[in-house]
Order: sequence, then structure tokens, then C-alpha cells
Amino acid sequence: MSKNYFALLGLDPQFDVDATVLHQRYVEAQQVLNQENARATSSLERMECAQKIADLNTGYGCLKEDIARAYHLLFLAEGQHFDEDGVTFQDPQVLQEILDLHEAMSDADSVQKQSLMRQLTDRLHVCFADLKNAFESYDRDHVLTHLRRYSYFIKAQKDFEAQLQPLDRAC
Amino acid sequence: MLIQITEPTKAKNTQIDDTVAVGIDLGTTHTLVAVSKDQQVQVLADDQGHVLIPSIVDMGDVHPLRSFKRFMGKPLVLTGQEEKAHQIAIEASAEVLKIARKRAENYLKKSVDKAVITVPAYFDEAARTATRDAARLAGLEVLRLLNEPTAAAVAYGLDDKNTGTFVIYDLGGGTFDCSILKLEKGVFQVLATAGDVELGGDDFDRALFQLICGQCALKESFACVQPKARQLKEALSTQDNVDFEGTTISRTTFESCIDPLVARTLTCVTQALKDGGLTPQDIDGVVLVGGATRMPLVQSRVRDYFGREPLCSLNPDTAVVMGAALQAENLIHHNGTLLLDVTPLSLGLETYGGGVARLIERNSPIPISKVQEFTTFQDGQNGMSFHIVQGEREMAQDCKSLTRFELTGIPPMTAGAARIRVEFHLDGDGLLTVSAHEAQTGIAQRIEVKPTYGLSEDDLRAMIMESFDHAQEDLDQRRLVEARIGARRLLNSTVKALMLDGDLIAQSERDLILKAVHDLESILETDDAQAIDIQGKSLDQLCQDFAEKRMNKAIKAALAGARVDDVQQKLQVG
Repeated sequence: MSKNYFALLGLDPQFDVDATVLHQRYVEAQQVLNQENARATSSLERMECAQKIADLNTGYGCLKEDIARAYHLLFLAEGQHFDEDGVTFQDPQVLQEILDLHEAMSDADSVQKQSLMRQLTDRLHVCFADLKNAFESYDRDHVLTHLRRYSYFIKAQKDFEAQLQPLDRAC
Repeated sequence: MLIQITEPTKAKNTQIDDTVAVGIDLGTTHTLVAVSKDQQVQVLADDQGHVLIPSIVDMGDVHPLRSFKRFMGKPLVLTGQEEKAHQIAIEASAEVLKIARKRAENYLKKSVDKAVITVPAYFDEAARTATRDAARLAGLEVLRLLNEPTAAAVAYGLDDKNTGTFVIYDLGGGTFDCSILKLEKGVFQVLATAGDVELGGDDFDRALFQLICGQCALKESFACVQPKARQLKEALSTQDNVDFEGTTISRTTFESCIDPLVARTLTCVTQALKDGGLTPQDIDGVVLVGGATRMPLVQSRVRDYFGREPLCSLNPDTAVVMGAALQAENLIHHNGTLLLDVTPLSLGLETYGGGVARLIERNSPIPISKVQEFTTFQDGQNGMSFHIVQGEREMAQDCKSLTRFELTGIPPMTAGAARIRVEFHLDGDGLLTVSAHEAQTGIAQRIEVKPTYGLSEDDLRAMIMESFDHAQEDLDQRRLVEARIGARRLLNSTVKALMLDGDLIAQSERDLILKAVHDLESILETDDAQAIDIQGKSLDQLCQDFAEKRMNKAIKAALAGARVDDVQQKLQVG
């Protein structure tokens, strides 16, 4: 993740990215690179082109995801990667909130579960907006706090979704 | 299935303007060949006007060979018999390809030596290699192996100038494939695929055969009766009743027999939609491909599922070969059409405790590179073993093991201090390169693997299926392992810190921390991940003040002239 993926996709480095615009830029860039690849005459040129396409795919995958995009922005701002693996999340209020949600979820019937999911979705919107603001008035620690919060709520949402929609047997 | 985006090594062909390449749909039951000129496709017929070339070859045995496509590229380690079947499948495919090539040469009045050949989306690397081998035996250079559903989308996209998200429902003679493709301004992006290699038109013939057996005493085997059963099945697509040896079979009865088969195809569709993060309402059109989609029941069930009329303006038997021919022309003359394909299974590394760190997720666009940093778990650890796995399960032991390699010579450091950067690069031909590099010493290791080599389509399907069957228990097990690892790491560092700097805090505080250490130790062997997490957090919280005091001490030591490395090392112990 050492390249500037925003530059690669011709976008301004910001947290709030329009998914449609992102996809358009991705497709346009793919078109350009594939044409470049078609014109390539040496194996070196083709290898370079294949690497650019791989970078583009990686970059697109990164910017598509809110959390990955946020860490990439942090990397661009700070010049270093933030490895959050093993970092203890110390935000008692949020931890309590998630714990309460888990408990409520385990006791809820299906209608209540849907309502809790809507509640969680609303909470995620708030987290997203907070993180967006934190990036706009940039302060690293502030960004990290909101980013960790958002990550926790997204993780909770995934857990709940898995509970709500047990996957059908694959074909 | 792998890789349709670009084929760098074939770009040289763009320089030859007078080259003609054909499209070939090498099917389980029939093969077709077509040529495209200025985006106008001609599906080629024989002297009698038949476009279908039966995929049947007389190899001198008692029965002519049929359905040999199912044996293409079977697993890497073969028994004598399997080896023979695999080789025969390649040779038989080559014979059919020779007929297709000859037909194209007769039509074009010139030599043909380049082709785009279609394969099921779930064909693995071995089956694709076998298809290339068959083409080579037939004197054909493969410009690209194109996924059948993608080929169908190419045919529809270029003909109708459609934009949107489409499902390609391909029920062929021997296999079922479902792909979700996003079509936009000449770009075809595969969002997700799913399939069933054990389900096709043949199974519907068999269902009808069993129905007939139930209604009259039939002495012949299925193999002998299949052509007749197929005729009856086809007749039931347009008639309400058919007669067979004095017995009447109604379409209603037939449809009740085949309904479970159609339901199986829709389970695959559900899976593909789920993988693509879509619902039936997000789909702008459903393209029906494969002769079996002519059955009214298939059309009505698909219509009901998606709430819209499926697209079938192209002949379902020829849509795939038309797409292949168009793609062949595009590769020769480049009209800006772009195919963006995805990898079918996730790739990752086994982590400490047997979990999997996924670097490349299933359905990621390819080629792609991913980097992740890992660190050592124990003090003084001077080597690291990498186990590369493929699959969707949470634990490495349940995934397909691809290869292992070692990175040695890491200088002794405290646990967590080493920074090992691991890069996965999956290229356009499905070749995975994994490199590991330790930042401080610069030592590096690199290995290449073919992720899908030796994986049959059945393996692919089974691996995805198992991941769903075991999703919850896998997740629980992973959480437990991760909770234990985190807790052990915390215990080690706390005990070490107490030994080194225990005098920085009061006895009462030490006792509290020690009690929390004992509590965590005793809970560690239970299977309660949440309890381990909570106890771990409680210990961590108790150590905050102690950690701060140790930090101050270290800073003082640094200011007193100690080496920065020493200070960092001391800090990392806590």
C-alpha cells in the first residue's frame, strides 16, 4: 500500500468518495491500461503494464472499502502505515454500547432484531460523518479514535448480519 | 476458474491485421465454431446446414466417447486409469477441435491457426491447461480461454448495447454456470460466479428416462435411450403431451420431476448474488444460455425468481460461440472491449494458532497485489514459517494447502519487534507469487505457486460449500484462538514487566495485577472467547498506570544516555 491510490484513480484524497465516480474512474483507467497493454511490443512493456493493472485493481479494492480507504488516507497524511493489529481498543463508552447491542440482539425476536439493525445502521451513519469531519479538520489522534469506533461498529454489523441471514447452502 | 482480463503475451497478434481468429464453444455435448468480421458473427454449418458438431469421438473402442469434457484436467496425482482418461479427454477434444478448425478453413478458404475457446467459469487451471493442450494438438494457438458466461455476455452486450448488471444463467448439456456481470460502455466486469458441474441437460434427460421407466417396462439402458429421451424432452418444450411406446407423458408430470433440478440452479444463483452483494431486484436482465434453457419450466422459474422476463433473443445454443468469435476479433483488432474477471477462491496465510489471514479475497479483480505485515510471536524468534492456503474456511487446516516456505535469519528481537512484509501477487495467468521481506535486515524469500493447479471444479465447489456449512463454528474457533493468543501475549509481557520493574508500583497494585494475571490464566483454558477477552481487557486496564510509570522510567533512562535501541526494546517488553 505504498502508492497513492487516489492519484492512480484521478481522485482527490478525501474520505467521502462517491462510489459511482470511483467505479467510473476505475473503468476508464482499465480501458487506458488495456489499450496500453495492447500496444505494448516488448515483454518488459507488457510486464510493466500488467503491474499497473494489478496496482489499479488493488487500489480500487482499497478505496471501495471505507476502513481501508481511511487507513490509506492516514498513510498518505502521515507517511507511515498504521498497524492496528493488537492495539487495545480503549473506548469504554463504545465497548459498552456494542456489548449492550450484542445482549439485546441475543434476546431479541426477529422483528426486534430488524429494529436493532436499523439502529446500528443509523449509528454507522453517524460514525461515518464523524470520521469524515475528523479527516476534514485533520488531527491524527482524532481520526484514529473515530476510525477505530467506525471499525468496531462495522464489525458488529457484519456479525449481526451473519446471525440474521444464515447463509444458504452453496450450490 | 481464472483470469480473463488481459493476455499480455498475446498482444503481438494485434500487429497482424489480416489474421483471422475463430471462436469455438467446446461443449460437453456439442461444439460450435464461428467467425466474426466487423462485429458480424457467422456461426458455421456443415454441408447439411447443421451448426452443432457432436462432441463425440470414435477412438476405436466399443462405444464412441461422449461427455469427455468432464475428464479434462482431473487432479494432479492420477491413478493409471485416471491418467488414461485425462489423456484420452485431451485427445478426444483435439479431434473435435480439428473438425471445427477444418470447418472454419472451408468457410474462410484459408488456414486457421488461432482461436478463442470457451470453458466453464469453474474450470480450474489444470482443466484450462488441458484445453490448451487439446488446442495445440489440433494445430490451434489459443488467443484466450474465455469463460462461457462471459462469452454469452459479450454476445449480448455487443449486439444490444446493454448497460447494467446481468445474470448469465447457463444451463448446458453437462454443467450449470451462473455469472453476474456488470456491463458498462464496452466493459464486462465479472462480479461473482457460482456453478454446478454435475447438473446439465443430461440430468433432465435422465429424469425423463426414469419417469418413462416408472410408466412402462423399459429394457434398454439410459445410454441407449438417451437420444430418444432428449427428443421427447425437446418436444415437451412445445407440446403438452408426448407419446412413447404407447404411454403418454404430460409436460406437467415431467415438470414435477425436474423441478428439484431447476431449484438447484436457483440455489447457485442465490449464492452468486450474495457474493456480488446483490439482490434479485438489482439485476437489470437475465440472459439465458444453453439448450436446456428452452424448457418452459426453466424460463418460468427464472422469471419468477427475478420478477422479470429473461432475455433470450439470441439462440441459446449459439450465444456462447458468438461471444467467442466477437472476442477473437476484438483480440486481433482491438475495439476497446474490456473483460474484468475475478479470482474464485480467497488466498491467504496460516497465522499463529492455525487461523487464516486472507490477503486476496474471493471475487477480487485480477491481476492483483496485496501486502500485509506480520511480526514474530516469541522473543528471539529467528525464523518464520509461511503456509499459503486457498479457500473460504476460517482455519488453515480446513483450507487447501498450496505451499510452505521459511524465512530464516531474522535477528533476535523481542516479540512483535520484527516487521515482515509479505506480498501476494496474483497475475493475469493465475500464477501466485509470494514474497516475504524483513525490513531491518533486508532478508527476503520468494516463491511461485499455481493456486488452482490440481484443484478440480468439484474441489472448488466443495471448498466454497464447506465454508458456508461451517461458517459459524469456524468463526467461533477463530475467535477463541485469537482471544487465547492475545491473552498469552498480554500475560507474558505483564509478568516480564513485573519482574523487571515491579518496584515502580505499590505492593497493593502489584497484588491486584497478579490476581488479574491468575484470573486470566485460569480462564485461558476454557472455551469462552468472550470471557477471555473481558478478563484480558480488565488486566490491560489495571496495567495502564504501571505502563505509564515504566514509560517515564524508560524516557529518563534515554535522557541519561542509554541507547535509543535499548529504550525501545525495554518499552516493547511491556
